[in-house]
Amino acid sequence: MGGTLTCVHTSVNDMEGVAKVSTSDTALTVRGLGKNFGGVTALEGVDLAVRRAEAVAVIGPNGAGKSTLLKLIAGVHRRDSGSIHLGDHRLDRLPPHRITRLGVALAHQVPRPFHGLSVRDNVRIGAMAAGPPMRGPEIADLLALCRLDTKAARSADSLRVLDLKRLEVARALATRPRVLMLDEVAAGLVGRELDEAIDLIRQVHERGTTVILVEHIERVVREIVDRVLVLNWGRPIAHGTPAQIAVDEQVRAVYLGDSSSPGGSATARSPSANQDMRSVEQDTAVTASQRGTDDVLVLDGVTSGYGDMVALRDFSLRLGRGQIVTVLGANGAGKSTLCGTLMGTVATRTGRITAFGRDITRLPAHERARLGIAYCQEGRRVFGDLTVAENLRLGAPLSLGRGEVEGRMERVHTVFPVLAERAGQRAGTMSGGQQQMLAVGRALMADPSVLICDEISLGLAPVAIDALYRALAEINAQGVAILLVEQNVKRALGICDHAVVLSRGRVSYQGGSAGLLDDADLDAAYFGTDTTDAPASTGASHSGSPARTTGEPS
Amino acid sequence: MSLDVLAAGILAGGLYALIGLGISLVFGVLGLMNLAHGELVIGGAYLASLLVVDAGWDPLAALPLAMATMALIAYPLQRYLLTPLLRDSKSAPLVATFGLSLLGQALFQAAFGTHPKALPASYADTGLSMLGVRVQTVYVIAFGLTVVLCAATHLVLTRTRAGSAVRAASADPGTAAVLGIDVNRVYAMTFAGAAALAAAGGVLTGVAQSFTPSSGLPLLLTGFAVMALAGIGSVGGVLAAGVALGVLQSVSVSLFGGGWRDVVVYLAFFLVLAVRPQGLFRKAHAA
Repeated sequence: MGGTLTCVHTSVNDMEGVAKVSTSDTALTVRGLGKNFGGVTALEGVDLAVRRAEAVAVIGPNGAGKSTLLKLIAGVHRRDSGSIHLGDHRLDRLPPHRITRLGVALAHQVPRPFHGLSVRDNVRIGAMAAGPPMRGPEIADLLALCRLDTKAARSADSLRVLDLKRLEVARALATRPRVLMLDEVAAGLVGRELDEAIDLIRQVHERGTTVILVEHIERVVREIVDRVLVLNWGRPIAHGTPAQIAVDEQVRAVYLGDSSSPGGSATARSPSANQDMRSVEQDTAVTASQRGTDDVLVLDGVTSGYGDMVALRDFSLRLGRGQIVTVLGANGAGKSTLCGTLMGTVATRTGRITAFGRDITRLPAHERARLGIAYCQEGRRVFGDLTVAENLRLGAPLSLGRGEVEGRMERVHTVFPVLAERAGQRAGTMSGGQQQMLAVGRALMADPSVLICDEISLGLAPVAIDALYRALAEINAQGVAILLVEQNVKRALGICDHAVVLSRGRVSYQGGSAGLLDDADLDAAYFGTDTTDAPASTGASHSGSPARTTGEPS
Repeated sequence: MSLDVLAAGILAGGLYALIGLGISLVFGVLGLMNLAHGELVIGGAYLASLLVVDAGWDPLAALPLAMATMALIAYPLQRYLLTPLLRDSKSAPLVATFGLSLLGQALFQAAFGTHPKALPASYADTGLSMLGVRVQTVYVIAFGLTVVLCAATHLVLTRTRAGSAVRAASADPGTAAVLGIDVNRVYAMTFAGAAALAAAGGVLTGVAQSFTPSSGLPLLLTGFAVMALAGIGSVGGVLAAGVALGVLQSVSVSLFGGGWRDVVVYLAFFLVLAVRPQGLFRKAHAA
């Protein structure tokens, strides 16, 4: 079984389950699966054997390749290497509709109903994909199972988010799948909605359908599946029962950041160094208050989201001049939504956002940028066809004189020397780390007072992360306040003054960063070891903690 | 086949390129098929006719004014009509440009009548000899001007910061906005620039041949063919595609007769779309 699964941390039984191919009770076998998009490896050497009527979860941080795995199995994307078998049928060379007919169904994360058709017709069309066609009573049963029976005649456009997800599942079930794949169907659901979604998946599973889940919500995984496969950067890193995975050191390291200390680098701030910085900041805070304001950014009871989905609920935060605040939380916790809401790319529903004492709640993104808020989006978002120098110049306002632009560029070059060396190169041809430096450098060209960084260490080698965090410390020392959204908990906590932990759109912890690594709240937010059913109560016990006021050591 | 045919094709292709450039610019940056582009071209010709026919100006003197006026008309159209529609769906602005096209034709009819017009100029019907080849003077002027305008467009897009803002808004409007670029304004400026290029094409077309309120449609289709041949995102490609189309047309007319002119153009259009949808002069983009 040499090398079928490179990093297995689990019992021999499970290993055999992985290695066994195409035995009578194996529903789906994936061997050595690999996929590249452009030059990026999305998936490499993934092995997975799912037994009949088993429920398996695939988890991992953003960009781990989870959705890619499901889409390769469903035939939406073509694999570059490896094979996929359903029983004795080889799937990886078949077109998607043939795969569906063989009994593999995929329910997408973002529901895509046929607009203008009724709920029943949507399900009926799903049923056409696989013969023999379902008759009326069967469709009625299916709608009842998914609790859509009372809404069968309604247009799919009129459904709310939970019902849309149910419809997505119902449509997948209508193809009579032997293997049902669910891509984050519980994402964005809370409270009773989540209970009902779990209940639905469990019922489907209990009727003998093989279930493969991609899920971020730990509770869904824990309550439904028998086995978990953990992916990170396209590679399998662990495999075992939910309980085994929850205590797996490597998995914890992936979710909470590299455990190796960034020793010796300027980014590492011991708690005492943190205190030193605080006293420095208190000094700057004094000068700032003399100018009238000491908070550069204030969010007050902000709720925002996309379409029907609320991703950030009643969120309040203060970012003081020259302060670094870190926002932590698992995938789907609402971190990127928070950044988008701050920048104006996600609309604020209720609440108020103030920058430099001015209400900016309704201001469009480009005007917020001109006020001095810079935003490094997740995924770098450099303009790949433009040169490095062109990218940088775009960060400066168009009205700025040429001399001043070149001056700022030189300052960025001193922070990131590689950007000077590569000035004439097309940005898209640089490495990920260099592109990330370009993204940060481009943001600095605006000479911002506030820098918002969304997942800037994602996918980078430790040495690149070291360089970036050194640069962040340098930028911060020049008085720029930083809002840091990170998955790499250890790195982020090493640099910040104040931390916020988000859990499904709500604040579950707010306060000083010291000691948070061992805190139960962090574990609850990432691994759901605590009861996540009552995020409100957790939030109440912590929000309003002393560190909410700037500059005060907590 | 004589060299005259080849030369006539190359020079006529210059005008096609000028018309295609505006369409390509709007499609490349805004992702919008501007079905009213033909009316922007003919509008430029009618605007110039006010100065040329009624006041006795030389068409080349009227050209910059026609360009500026069309740009001023186009800017608010994009900023306050098409951009708000663009936000909601991709098809609404397409339909709106079709409406604008019909509205433009009706306006031309009401204001100028349906009688064919032309822009009289001393060089309209004269020919000249270049390297032993007889060519029409007006097409030589049109070709020269096209090369100048293409070069200017290329330099603005690649050498100025405003140009890189346009390319940025085209590649990723969300990120451009985050960087402080007013994307709606970039869109309106791009549309205005395309309208100015269209007006220049219109004035030159008006000197070379007569036009009526409904002359815009064949020009629009030729422009689409140029864009399809060129692919999106390269000014040089547009010029090359225009010339290729002009030569193709000129050669086919001399071989098969005038009736086959448009058949060959649209056949080329169709074949390129079917076989090489990214255009002849552009490498396929990596995913």
